[in-house]
Amino acid sequence: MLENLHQFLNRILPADRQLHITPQQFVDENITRSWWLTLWLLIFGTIIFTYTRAQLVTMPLLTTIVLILWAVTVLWTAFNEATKKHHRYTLWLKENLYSSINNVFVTLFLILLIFSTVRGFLNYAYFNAANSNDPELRAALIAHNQEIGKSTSDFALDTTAAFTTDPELSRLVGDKTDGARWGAVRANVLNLLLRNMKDHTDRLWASLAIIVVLAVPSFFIYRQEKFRTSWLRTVLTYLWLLSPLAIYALIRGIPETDVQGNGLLALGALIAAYFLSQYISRMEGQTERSLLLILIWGFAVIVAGAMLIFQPLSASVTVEGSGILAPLNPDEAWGGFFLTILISVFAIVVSFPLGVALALGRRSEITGIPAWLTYSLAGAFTIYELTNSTPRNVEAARNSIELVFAYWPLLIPVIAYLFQRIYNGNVVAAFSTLYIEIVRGVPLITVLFTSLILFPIFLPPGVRILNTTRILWAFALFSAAYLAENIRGGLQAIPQGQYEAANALGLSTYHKYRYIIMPQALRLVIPAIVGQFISLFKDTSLVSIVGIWDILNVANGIAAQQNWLNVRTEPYIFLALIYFIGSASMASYSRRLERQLGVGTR
Amino acid sequence: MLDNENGFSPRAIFSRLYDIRVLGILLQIGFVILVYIGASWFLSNTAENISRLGEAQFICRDGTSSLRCSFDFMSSDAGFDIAETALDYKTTDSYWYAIWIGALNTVKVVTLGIILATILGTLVGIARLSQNWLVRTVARWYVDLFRNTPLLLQLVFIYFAIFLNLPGIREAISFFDVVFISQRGINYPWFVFMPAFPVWFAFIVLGVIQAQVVWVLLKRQEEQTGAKYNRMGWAIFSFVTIVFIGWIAASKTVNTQAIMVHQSTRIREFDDIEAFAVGRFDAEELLDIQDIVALAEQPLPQDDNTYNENGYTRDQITAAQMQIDEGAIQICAIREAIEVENLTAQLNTLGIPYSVAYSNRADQATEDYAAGDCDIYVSTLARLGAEREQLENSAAQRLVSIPEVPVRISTPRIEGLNFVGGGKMTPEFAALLIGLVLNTAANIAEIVRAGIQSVPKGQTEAARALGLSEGQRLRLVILPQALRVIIPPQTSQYLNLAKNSSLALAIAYPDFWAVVNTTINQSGRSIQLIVIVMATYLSISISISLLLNWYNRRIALVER
Repeated sequence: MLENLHQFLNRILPADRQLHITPQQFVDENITRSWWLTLWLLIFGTIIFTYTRAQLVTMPLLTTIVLILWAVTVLWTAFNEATKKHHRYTLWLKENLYSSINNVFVTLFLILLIFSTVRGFLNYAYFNAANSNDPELRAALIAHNQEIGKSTSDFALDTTAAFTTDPELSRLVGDKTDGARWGAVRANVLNLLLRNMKDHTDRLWASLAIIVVLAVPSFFIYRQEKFRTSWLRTVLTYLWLLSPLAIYALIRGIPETDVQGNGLLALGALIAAYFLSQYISRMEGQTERSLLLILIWGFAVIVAGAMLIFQPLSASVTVEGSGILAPLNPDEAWGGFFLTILISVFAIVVSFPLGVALALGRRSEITGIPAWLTYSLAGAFTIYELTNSTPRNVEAARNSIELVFAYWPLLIPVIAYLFQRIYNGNVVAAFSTLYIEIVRGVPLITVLFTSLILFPIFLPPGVRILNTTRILWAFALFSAAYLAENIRGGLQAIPQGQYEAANALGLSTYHKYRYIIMPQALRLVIPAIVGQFISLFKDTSLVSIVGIWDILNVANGIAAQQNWLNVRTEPYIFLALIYFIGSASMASYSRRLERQLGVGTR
Repeated sequence: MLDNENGFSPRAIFSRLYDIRVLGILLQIGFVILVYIGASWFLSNTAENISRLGEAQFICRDGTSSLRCSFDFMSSDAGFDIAETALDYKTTDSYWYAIWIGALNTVKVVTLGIILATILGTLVGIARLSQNWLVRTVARWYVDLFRNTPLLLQLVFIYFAIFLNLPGIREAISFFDVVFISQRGINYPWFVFMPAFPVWFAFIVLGVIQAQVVWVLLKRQEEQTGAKYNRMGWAIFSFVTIVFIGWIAASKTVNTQAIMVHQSTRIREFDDIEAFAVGRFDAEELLDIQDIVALAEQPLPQDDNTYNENGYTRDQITAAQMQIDEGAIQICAIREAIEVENLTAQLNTLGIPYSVAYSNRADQATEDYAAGDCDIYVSTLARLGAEREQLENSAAQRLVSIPEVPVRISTPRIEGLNFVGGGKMTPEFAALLIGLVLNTAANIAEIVRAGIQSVPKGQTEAARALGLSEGQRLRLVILPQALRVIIPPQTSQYLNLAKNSSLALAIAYPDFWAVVNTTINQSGRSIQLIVIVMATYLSISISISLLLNWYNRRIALVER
């Protein structure tokens, strides 16, 4: 019968569009090739059929259109394939959607699935959404509740009931109770973004202005070759370095402080020494230069120390910001997405140099503390503790565990041995490795808790550090460990020859890393570093668990508001959107940077 | 150079000092001293703070204060409840035990999470490279969405916005009437392991060994003769055969051993009837009913002020007797509330084997109980004890044998206000598991994709040219090379999943960290508990990263 069909078709088809494949061949190749393929197609086909039928019931029109389009394109592609004359479109369809019978089914299934998902989401987010503004809705609800004799405190619990019973109200809120209530987001958008900072937007605008004022000239000065040695570039760099201070002063305000004349002079001496040493370092003569530098820095330190210790000047000024610079309490003022950004930027900026230092430290190969020194010190310490604390502890031990712990000094030689064996006595490498591994080994949330609960115990009594400050530093220190590992990966990927070439050129260690190793290593790990920054950006949401008012915590708070009791989905969707845009744009920037720097092509 | 050699000129000393090695060592020693000073400063502050707080942190049992007793408080009663426990837990258990329960919860979610995330991640990773453009695109959307939003947001979304907004038990979303998803979690069919299960399990192990043997023998045959066998088919066939034989044999064994099995079942039954009633209605009085019965049966002392031979007063004994009466009333109330027509079926769904035709006295108690006749039950209480003794004496048994299978499947059903039977996931556990799996799978998908793409196309072409089949190509050429790229980041994803499970705190799943956090809040001993937490997490991650480093060294390409 199939043979007849083939002949019949070829008879009615024009001569240049003859079928090159018989139906029998087609069935042999695509359906009965193996018994499990047939079985699978049967099962899968049944599933698709059931699903399609269900979809036909829920959205008849859309499903019918999809089905017709699907059938037409499938037939068209199949016909073109059989006659070996592809159109541009059918070629694409064949390669990307209908490459096998299985894929033909998968495509239909996915199209229907996507359509029904999109339809459901649109119904929720747009067609059924309650689009009224908050104050209006609230007034209407209160009026409605008074009418039906409910007290205003009840209505918050019963908004859904109110929606459906009153036609007028239904019209106002869009008659939709199962749709989104975007009013929750709309009413709280400033809260979500800024929280209490929304009362201080002038400061934020001023901060933004500083950045823009610096960024616009930077765009030309850093890009163009003619400014390469210009003083403009130096000045701009210093301004950039100072800008965080200015922005900090703006968003934090200037708290009441006594500025001592002594302190100012000490600071002045150090700054003067810095600029002098910049000048001197361009002079000739290694020994003279070193001596001069030592002299200048020694003098500056002595002057500064004398100023701070003996306090010869009695002049002091009390400073307190006012107006736009009036002091704020960060624990209360900072919040919302603003805090999220602040934490991310601070952690990124601070953790980068720390990460580089830790990565270099972990790989450092400097001569370590000699073994004889380590072992003799460890031995002395062990004997001291064994004779002093151990007998006391053995005597006081109440159980066998404490008895074992009493002999803890025996661990000292073991640690000393490991230290010498693994790190050759290199303190820098040992410390960096230990830091990195410990921080990477524990969850961020425990680090945050530690910084909030445990850290105050380590401080002198009376000293209090703001929660926000502690969180900022916790993030920076945490992120530094991860960054260090990324950078170390880049350093490891630099071929040995680069180090050797730099050494052969006679470059100092600093210059070797500054001009040869680091630029290559950092270029290699840009994707990893940006990935780290993205995860840092996302991880800032964890502060909501420890009670800091970041955007997620503010969003959780909406569900407790009178008007929006238990409304959580909409704020969460808004948050997801914000986070998605932030992370995705960072990722795409990283991809562009990668292309610009030619990672993997050079 | 000359200067260096001839000793002590100032210039020589200067350049000796300027030697990078000497400077380096001096700096390192300085660094160590600095760290030491810093640490002792912190410690002295700590000591001062603690003394200011009255040294409550380090109080021993005997009231003295010492650093040795830092962890003594951990043995005292935890006092808080844990919503989800793998083992029995009471509020009177110690903090140690509470934290152990939390750790078990973490292990549960992490193990399941790793398995599911690996499966899902691999599938999505392969889907990212699918020939079908739609599959590719949908997989990319999924990966992008989950990689670009915070895990915590995903967790709270799944828990608060999805699970807590689901319908209640009555309107639970059901899949083919066996899986139910509702506000109270996910209920799904689960196995009930019957007393015959161990026998069957032995057969399963036997089957695995047999399949291995068949596989190896056929392979040897293939290598010797060059003939091609369907090794996989034969191995599966032998496995299935043995497991099938095992199923029948295990059921038969139980028949022949009916009396023994039945005894233990019957004893468990009595305990379970009690536990069942207690667990349902919080009737804690029933918990120690055996003790109360024992106490009530004590001989009364002569008068109010003397003790009997076991040291009980008249008051205590009469109180116990009264409690039995009250207990009986309570049981009566429970019986009415349960409204079970057939207690046997009820117990069956709880996994207590009960489809037994009883023929002798042992039956009487159950029937009385099932009839809900309180008076009879009161009289039965004493009888239960006697019967129990009788059951433990195997010589006194003449029970009918029971036809039993090794494993039954129990499906959840709505009974009253709750689900009965089957397995159950609480919404907290389900939300945490789903969140962790979806998030980790998105990351694993990217790793798998990168791993497969890292194998040069030439390898595929070469494998095809050699005439390898698709399966062989994947198994022998692509996977070994891709795995080298995949496994290190995959392991760190597993570590991440384990660490991320600590976010359970945000959705009230009692994992290790959440329990520790409650303990900190309750006992105020933050230092000790943070030490425990850090030690636990560090020992886990360091052991895994040592393993990973070892593996990494083994598979790394050696340069020069």
